[in-house]
Amino acid sequence: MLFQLARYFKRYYMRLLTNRVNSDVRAGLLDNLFTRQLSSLSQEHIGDLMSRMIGDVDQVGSSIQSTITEVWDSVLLMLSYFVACLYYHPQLTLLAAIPIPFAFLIAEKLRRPLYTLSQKNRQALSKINVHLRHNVTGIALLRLFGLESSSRERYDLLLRDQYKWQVLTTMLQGGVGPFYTFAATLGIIIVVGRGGEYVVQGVWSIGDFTAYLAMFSAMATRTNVWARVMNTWHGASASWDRICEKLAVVSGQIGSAEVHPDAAGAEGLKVGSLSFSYPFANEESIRDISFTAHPGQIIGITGPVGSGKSALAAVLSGLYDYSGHASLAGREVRGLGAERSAFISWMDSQHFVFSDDVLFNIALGRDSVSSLVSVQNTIPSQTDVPGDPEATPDAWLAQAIALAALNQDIASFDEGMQTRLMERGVRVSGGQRQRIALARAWYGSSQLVILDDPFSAIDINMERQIMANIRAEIGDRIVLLFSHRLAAFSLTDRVLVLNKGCLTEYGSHDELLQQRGLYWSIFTAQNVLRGEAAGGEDDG
Amino acid sequence: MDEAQPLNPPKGSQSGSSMIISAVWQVLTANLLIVLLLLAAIFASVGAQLYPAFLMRRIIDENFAKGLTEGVWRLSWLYLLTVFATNLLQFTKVAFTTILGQKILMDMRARMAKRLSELSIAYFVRTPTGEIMSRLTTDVDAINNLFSAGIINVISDLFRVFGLLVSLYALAPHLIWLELIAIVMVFICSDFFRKEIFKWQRVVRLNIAAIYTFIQEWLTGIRTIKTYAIEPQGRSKFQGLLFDHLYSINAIARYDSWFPCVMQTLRAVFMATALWLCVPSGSPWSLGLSVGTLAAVSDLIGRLFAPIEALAQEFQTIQQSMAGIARINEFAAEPVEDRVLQDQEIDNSAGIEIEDLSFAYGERNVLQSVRLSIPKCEKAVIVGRSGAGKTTLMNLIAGLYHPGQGKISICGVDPFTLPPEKRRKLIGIVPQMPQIFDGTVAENIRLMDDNVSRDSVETAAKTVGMHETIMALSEGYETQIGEGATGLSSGEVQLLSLARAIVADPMVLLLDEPTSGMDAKTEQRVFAAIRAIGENRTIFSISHRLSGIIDADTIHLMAEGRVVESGTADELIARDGWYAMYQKMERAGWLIE
Repeated sequence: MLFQLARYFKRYYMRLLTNRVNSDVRAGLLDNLFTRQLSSLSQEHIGDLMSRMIGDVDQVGSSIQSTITEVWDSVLLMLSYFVACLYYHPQLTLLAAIPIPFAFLIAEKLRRPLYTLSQKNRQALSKINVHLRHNVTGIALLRLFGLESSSRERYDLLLRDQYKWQVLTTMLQGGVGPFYTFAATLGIIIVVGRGGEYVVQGVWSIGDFTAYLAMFSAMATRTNVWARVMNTWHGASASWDRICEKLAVVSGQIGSAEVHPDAAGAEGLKVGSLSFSYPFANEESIRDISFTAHPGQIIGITGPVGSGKSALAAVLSGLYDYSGHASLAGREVRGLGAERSAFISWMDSQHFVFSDDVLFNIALGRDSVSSLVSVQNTIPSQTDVPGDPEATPDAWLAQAIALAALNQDIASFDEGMQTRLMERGVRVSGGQRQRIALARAWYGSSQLVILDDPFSAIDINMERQIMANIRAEIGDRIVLLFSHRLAAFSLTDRVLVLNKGCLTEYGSHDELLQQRGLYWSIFTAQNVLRGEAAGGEDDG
Repeated sequence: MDEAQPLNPPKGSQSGSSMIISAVWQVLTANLLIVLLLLAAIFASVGAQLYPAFLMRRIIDENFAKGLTEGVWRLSWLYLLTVFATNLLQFTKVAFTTILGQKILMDMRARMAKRLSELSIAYFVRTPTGEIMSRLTTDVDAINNLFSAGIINVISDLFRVFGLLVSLYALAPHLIWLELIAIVMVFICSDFFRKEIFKWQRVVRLNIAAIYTFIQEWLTGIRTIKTYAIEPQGRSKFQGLLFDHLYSINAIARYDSWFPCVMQTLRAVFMATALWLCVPSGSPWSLGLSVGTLAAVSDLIGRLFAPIEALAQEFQTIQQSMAGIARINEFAAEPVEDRVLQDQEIDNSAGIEIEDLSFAYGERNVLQSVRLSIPKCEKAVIVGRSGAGKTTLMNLIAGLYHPGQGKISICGVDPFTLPPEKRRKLIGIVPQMPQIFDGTVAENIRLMDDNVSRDSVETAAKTVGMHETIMALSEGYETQIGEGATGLSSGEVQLLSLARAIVADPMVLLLDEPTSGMDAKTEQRVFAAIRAIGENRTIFSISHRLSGIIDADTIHLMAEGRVVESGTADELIARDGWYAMYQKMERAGWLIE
């Protein structure tokens, strides 16, 4: 009984250990992904990462568990059986045990093929996951285009491929077991034959014989178990390598934090000879861009499709490496490190929404708001604290909500600030999503606020209102407004026009109109279009 | 095709369990030979495992008792042969079980994917991607051990127990009561464990789904996370999920660890009682067996407990599958979209007709009694603020949702029941947020439709002015693009999406804000392209600003899910209604410049 109790503790803590290891590996994987640079993350397939973080970790975990338990049980038992057999009859034991090492030899020989097969299998599972994720996230489009059935055919092909590798792996892993037993049991012929003779000769009693036979058989069976554990490892090492592959990606400093001598100690944003290319892109997205922005300024940046607007917005976020210089308050943006988010907010064109409540989606848990907001669910009232770093989270929140003109929307939600949004934003329209992303960017006291196409899903009236809010609330902040619609640009202090990655025009809105360059032509084109739209009425 | 023929039979909602049963049935009937061989191997291996005990009795009783050496070696070879046969049969069992189990699993995955495709868009909208993925992958995987080992082992273990009981009965009939009592006790005990483990396995599945959902969501939003440096929040959320998971798997570990210990204790008690009863002298109930029989009986009793314990253990393992099946059942219980595809005749002279259409997302009413009539080749534009229901209306016209109330007809065809392969030839769609699929540029335009020739791909690309951009890519039309690094700007992706819509030369074009995200020059280019391809087509487009309207024959204004005004631009202006108001607002907005 006591033995069983001890055994329970052994089993329980072994499992606890494995479970812990699993959780830690997963947490470690996430940590690593979080510390990696955006440029390297964009190369990853999320479905694949999910497969590695769940499936492969489980694979390794269960192997560790079976190994530890089996190593303990099998090796110890095998050895004790062996010693006991030796004690009974050394000669016979040694003779009969000759085939046992061969079982291990076979097991070792299977290392390579098992590794390869198992890796193929895991890869196939990853592919299934990647395909499935694309299918689910793009379902509306697949249906609209009538592509669902052909996509499912592809899925079935992937399933068939995975089936093949899975069967081969399992066969090799589990199927060879009996052969190990057989190899290990070859010696039994000597045991029964010789042992039988001993009994007849009176050297052994029948009891000796049956005991010896039982022990020898048990030893042989354990050989099988142990050899199979070896094979499990060969398979799991493929999974382990897939995990390590992701853990091994080191994420160092994005680039040198050294500031251009001219920019040292300077206020505001100073950009000099800035060039950038997306990883694996042939060409630079932006080339040799220089400009300055002072606190309190709104800089409008525009240009044709593919002119590098989004690239410039991304670079100035400080999350990517670049050549040239970009400094904010005398510090290079890529070298801001952990402090970066305190300096820069970047609203990208994704308008990502977390499946959490409105409050989290704006404040992102960056600070703890008062219980008035989090528990009583009221929108905090606005105090006049533009960009004040001393202001409370409540004040920031109030300001951000007011700026994005979300007060009415939130009031109309059933659960106010605590209304849960969904990944795909069922509860909110596209425009509301965009304004939530805008409020998120405005929340806090970051000096540089980068807004990449913030008005695309917002109607013109709302756009005007929000622009006026930004103008009024800007304080010491710098706002970079990237847009293709120039309606809001009259409220900017400076306008940058990009074309094919280069800065082609730079000046105030009025100056650029007078220059009659690209800005003027875009502006007039938009006017012409508006004229055309309005034209019908005049012609009629 | 003169009358509407249902292309697929109406599907009764098949439950998850019956999905599994029919998957099993299909695989088993399709692989009858393997099934028969497997059954034979199971039977034979029961026999082969019993044989050594009898062989042993022969050796002891015939040779040892009589002191004969002769024949011992022959019998020892025979013994080896049975060991070999046992192992060979064991291998056959493993191989065939694996094949059948994996086939069933593959079939289940495919069935789940099929079921997924029968669910309405509403399901996708309200269910997180990670949740759907976990149901289709890990939950199906969870039922793996049911097939790959579970059921077959249970069957073969049952056979073994039965075989051993018969042998034991033959050797020592009086012991049978003791053996049956032992079995009942094992059953009662393992049933308790089974229930507890099942309960926790359910929790484990839920936690795994939550982890899946988290990873999916937080990796999708990685840019936002990095921008606002909320990695610590992510970490602590993830830690919380991992902790919950850890708690539940540790609970299982506890039961898992107790179980064999309890079993072994039972076994020890049972063995002691059996031996006490069997030993020739000592107790009054002694059964007085021969030495050979005693050896065989003790061997068989030892063997008897192995499959019983294994059976009990398998029942615990199967609980994981049971929890998986429960999740599959939940998934299968999702109402299947009532979409009976009908091959309908296209009426070339008709346009788009919408009668009294209402639609709601859950409790949120999006469209209310919408009436619209767009004659063939007319260009209609729907204008309204964001959230007015324009995109929903378009998705309904495209046949994505079932209209809650009312009727839609495009060229005389109900788009909801139109077979997908026909839809693309009838309707071309440019969604608001175009998506790039993994593949070449050409494949992204063709969209896996092999009937589209390379020429038409290029023509479409030229029409939207993307040909030069594509040729400038490293491998032209064969350049690989996909999730993440596309090498195309967001505006170019929209142009690609436009090429995609016109490549199949559809009669109706649906454009959702076709020029949002485009600068004035590209916008003009796209409008020129739309003008060029729009000649003999009915066009339905959406805009949230009047400046997006071009060449529209009729304008329909939408507000709060209703069409509030319709007419030509002139008519609307003359009416001094919504349109005029919109125009005034927009003009004011733009004239600030």
